[in-house]
Amino acid sequence: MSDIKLTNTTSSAEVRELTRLERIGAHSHIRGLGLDDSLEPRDVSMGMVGQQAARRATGIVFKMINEGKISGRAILLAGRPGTGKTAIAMGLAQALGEDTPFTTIAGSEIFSLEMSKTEALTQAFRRSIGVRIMEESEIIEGEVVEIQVDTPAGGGEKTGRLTLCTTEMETVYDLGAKMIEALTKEKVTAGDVITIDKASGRINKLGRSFTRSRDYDATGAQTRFVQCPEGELQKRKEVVHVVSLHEIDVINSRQQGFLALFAGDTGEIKSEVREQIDQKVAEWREEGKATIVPGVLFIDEVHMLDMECFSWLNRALESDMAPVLVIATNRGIAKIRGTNYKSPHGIPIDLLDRLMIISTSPYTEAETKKILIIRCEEEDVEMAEDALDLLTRIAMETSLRYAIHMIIAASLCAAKRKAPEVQIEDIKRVYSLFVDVKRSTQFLMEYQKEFMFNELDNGDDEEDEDDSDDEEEDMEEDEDDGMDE
Amino acid sequence: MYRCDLPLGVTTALKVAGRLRVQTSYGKTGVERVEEWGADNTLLMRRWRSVDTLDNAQAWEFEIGDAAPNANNNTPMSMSVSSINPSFHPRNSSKHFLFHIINVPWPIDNYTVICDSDKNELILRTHNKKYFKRFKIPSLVRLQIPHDEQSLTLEHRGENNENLLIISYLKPPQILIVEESEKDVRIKAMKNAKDGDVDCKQS
Repeated sequence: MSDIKLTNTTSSAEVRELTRLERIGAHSHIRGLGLDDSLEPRDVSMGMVGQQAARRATGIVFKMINEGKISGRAILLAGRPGTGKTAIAMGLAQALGEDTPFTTIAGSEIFSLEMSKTEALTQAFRRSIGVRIMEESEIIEGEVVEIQVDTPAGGGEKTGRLTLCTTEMETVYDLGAKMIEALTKEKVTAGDVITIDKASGRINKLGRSFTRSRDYDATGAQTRFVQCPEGELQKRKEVVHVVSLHEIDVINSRQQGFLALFAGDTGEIKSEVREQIDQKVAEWREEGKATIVPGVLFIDEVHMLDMECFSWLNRALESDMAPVLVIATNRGIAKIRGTNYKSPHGIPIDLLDRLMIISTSPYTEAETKKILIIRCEEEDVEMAEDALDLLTRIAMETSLRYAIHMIIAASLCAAKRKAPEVQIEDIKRVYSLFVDVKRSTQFLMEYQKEFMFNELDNGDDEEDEDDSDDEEEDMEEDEDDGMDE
Repeated sequence: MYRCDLPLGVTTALKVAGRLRVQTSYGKTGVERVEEWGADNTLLMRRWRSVDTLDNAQAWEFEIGDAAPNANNNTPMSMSVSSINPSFHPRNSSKHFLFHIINVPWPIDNYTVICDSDKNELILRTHNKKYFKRFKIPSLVRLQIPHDEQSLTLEHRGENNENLLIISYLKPPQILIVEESEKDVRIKAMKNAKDGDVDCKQS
């Protein structure tokens, strides 16, 4: 009895390891907005904790986006740092699913030397509008009877044969090296039921055939059993895919001829091309060939945009092809970039007037603890109850981000002393090794004199200052020379 | 190729290597048809092409005749149906729609062809579960004539490693009438057609 249990757990752990390809990011524990069917926020769900009011409001925004009728609305997420603004936006993206275009940019991303600010914003806008196109594609669907791979003795390309069957027929396919590689990568073996998309060559494993269900016992909990497909191996299927307006722009703006050699990046797209495409898409809509899927553009750190961008946004939001704009900022009353005026959130009043503002509030101690528990699970760290209490207190006194960053460091400390879980002493050790902002500031205030360039304020130690300045100038000249050559 | 809502097409004809090549394009729909007729007025090949939503031309679909070998080798998947498999080849004669299935060494009692009247399709089954095919006869679909099991005859040629199964479907009278009228369109289009190379004035 115990043996069986053991094998089961190991195999499922192995499967989990294999399926996790992504690394753990700051918001990878977020799997949705954590709302129930009536869009009421659940207390702890899908990685979301607390922020009831903000999540309820986002739920309504979610509904609005899903219905897809309203264009050009903007929502501002405002709140202190570390109160879950980005998490809510990520949750919204997850809840909307893969078919709704969701573009995330940071406010500073649009400042590039390659293209103008408004071009970058236009591209971001058009990336967030999807066009759903119906197409017929051919797929091969069958149960694998046999895979046979021949490696030539003298090297060279592998060749192989794949035999697929349905309940009615059987076909042998000749395989090239690429396909063999793809099949090996997907770990396709005899008895699997697979589909192969004829146009792209993508292989999709549907599960194992029922007829092979008793072949061996070491199947993981994840193994799905399916019926062997019926009828013909090759089938025609209506497939729906969503492309963004930006993708259509790019395809149609590529330069022809030898110029294409130099056009590595897309660069700026001419407005004529955009107009043509808008017209074409409008035609498709009338003919019923395509539908528009309005998506979401999320601009994080929106206070980094300058005055020109804000006035561009004002106008862009009035277009009927505009996506729903979600912006986030952690600023209070701040200077609008590019001007000397101060405004709430660093956003001009006329744009603020068009926004619906959702504010996030700081987390309570209980909520902070729940978030830390979720992060511990996400990072696969076992933590003792008292250590968790200490960490929560640290999070309340310093910041949630600092506490979250301590988790993995503490777990490495625990691993070093070969302890199975993180204890208070590990937290203490990490706390002493890595300082947080508050302690760092305090330290700087005490020992400011001993750091470089503090002389500017004080005016003493003149000799040292001159020396260092000269060296710097020399360095700069050298660099200039190098550039000229 | 099953479409019956096509507008009147523009037909041009050209004689190439003893065959009459007839090309018809159906205006704004983007649908295109190419036929090749032999000397004794037999249809050797008929293929169709349409465009997708993004106005890209699709691959040719062969109603009668075979695609050239290696025609779909430029697919990205580096996988092709092996030549040892049974394969399906539509043919045509003046009285019958013919379907040749090659690489089928099994005797005649291995095959049944029935008509699925719900889907208006013919189904070829093999009792040893090696080959299966659902197919329609495009000419019947276009004129909205239901398929009929009574018109079918099966023949198997196993000697000399031929391994050929021939399904013949007797053409109904409506089809024969339509084919006769299409002949006139062809003759009209052919009037301008010359044998050999087209004039290319260098002036």
